Amino acid sequence: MMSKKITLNFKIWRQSSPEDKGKFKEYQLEDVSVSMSFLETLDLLNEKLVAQNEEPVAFDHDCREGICGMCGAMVNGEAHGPLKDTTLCQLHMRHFKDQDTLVVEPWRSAGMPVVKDLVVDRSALDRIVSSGGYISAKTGSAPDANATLIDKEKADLAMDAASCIGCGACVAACPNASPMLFVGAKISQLSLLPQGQPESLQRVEDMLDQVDEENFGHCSNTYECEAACPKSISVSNIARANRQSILKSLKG
Amino acid sequence: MSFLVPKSLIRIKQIIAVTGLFLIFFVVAHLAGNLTFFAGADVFNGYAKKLQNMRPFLNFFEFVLFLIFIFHMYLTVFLIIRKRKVRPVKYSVQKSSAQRSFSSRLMTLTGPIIFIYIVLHLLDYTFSSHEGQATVVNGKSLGLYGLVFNSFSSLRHSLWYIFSMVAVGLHLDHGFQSFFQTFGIYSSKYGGFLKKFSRIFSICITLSYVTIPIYAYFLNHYGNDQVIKVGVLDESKL
Repeated sequence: MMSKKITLNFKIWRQSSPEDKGKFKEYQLEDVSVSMSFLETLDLLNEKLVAQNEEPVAFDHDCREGICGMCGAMVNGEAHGPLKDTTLCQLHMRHFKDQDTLVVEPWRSAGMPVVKDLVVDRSALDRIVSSGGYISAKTGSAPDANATLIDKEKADLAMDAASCIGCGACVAACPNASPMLFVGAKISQLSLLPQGQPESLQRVEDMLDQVDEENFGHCSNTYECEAACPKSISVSNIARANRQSILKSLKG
Repeated sequence: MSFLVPKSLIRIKQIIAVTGLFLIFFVVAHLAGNLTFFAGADVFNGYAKKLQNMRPFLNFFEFVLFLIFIFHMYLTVFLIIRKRKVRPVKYSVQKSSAQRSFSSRLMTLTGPIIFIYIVLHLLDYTFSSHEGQATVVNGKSLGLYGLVFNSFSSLRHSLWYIFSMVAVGLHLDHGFQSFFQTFGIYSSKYGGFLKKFSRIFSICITLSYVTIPIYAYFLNHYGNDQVIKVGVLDESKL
């Protein structure tokens, strides 16, 4: 079955290296099938660029099914594009009209500097996790499922928090480039469960200390992150992290 | 002076939130005092006098309030300046989600408006003489009540006060619910309620405050009978 074809105008950020100043470059792409994903459209563009002996647009991607957190870019000023609760790879071109102009930019934050074109260095997020986003107790082999009883409600909240794929859209969408939704999710997924509780307050302190070390901004409760998150992670996870931070300072 | 360059973003946020909460308490207490305006010159001036009689305790309170205010502003300015460094290259297109409240977008605008307002407000009523020509209503000096009453005969002055109170309401709408978030009281369950609560609270604050300029303005221009009534000042009660 032939699907509908449209023509799209792209304005894509091109930056050859972290040191390069970078600029927008315009491309017109014809015969874009509306069934293609955004990344497949970029593939199509790159094939043409390679054929013309031009440098292809660099972008991060891996699973292309919305679960790995590798892809991501600002499309017309929205993280992962205009479709809610989806990653860029799961955004299909049927959501655009013929002759639409798409402005594609990398995540912009000093904490996640551009490596090339649309690729950013998200290792700061990894450093935040390695500063405390784990449990250090040996838990042995997998216990029986009913050995430790956990409230269904809490288990669900922990699972919701654990669905964070670390894509960085929260930082990108935040007016202050704050990673607090990411941090809140990483803190909540552990502190909601019994195994994560013994270290929960120290974890919050260590992870928030690491946030200060990185070039990220402050959270001003605008909740832009929640709207941009492809996994619709709730800002109540930030509140949980905030609450634990206060408990930590009260208990010392 | 290391506390002047705070390092921890979460601490800054907590201090801004807690100072903001104290300022909200002050706004409510101040409103309670303001509303005595409706009870006439006796009660209003009596209230003002009672406050003045509370010195030096009042001096201490004013000093603490001043410090709270300075910290609230200083830390916010610190964050705003820092913010430029964390996103050195701006987006060419950035869409704000519908989820972001109107008031949160305006925080950096309503904040400075409130600051300017407070300075002018102090000059208007606190650091000005409560005697003399400006306090005379119907040939009789009515002290602070007369000063407030006469000042709102000006449409421009009244509108400026109303405008400022709208700014206060907008600032509180984001600020109050933000306090709950920063102190971790916000949750998926109660988040919606807390947002609504702060909205209704701020609307109530703004509406209650603007009653005074509106009432005084209309009394000045249309309520001659009432002016005579409120103009009676029983000095023995003070």
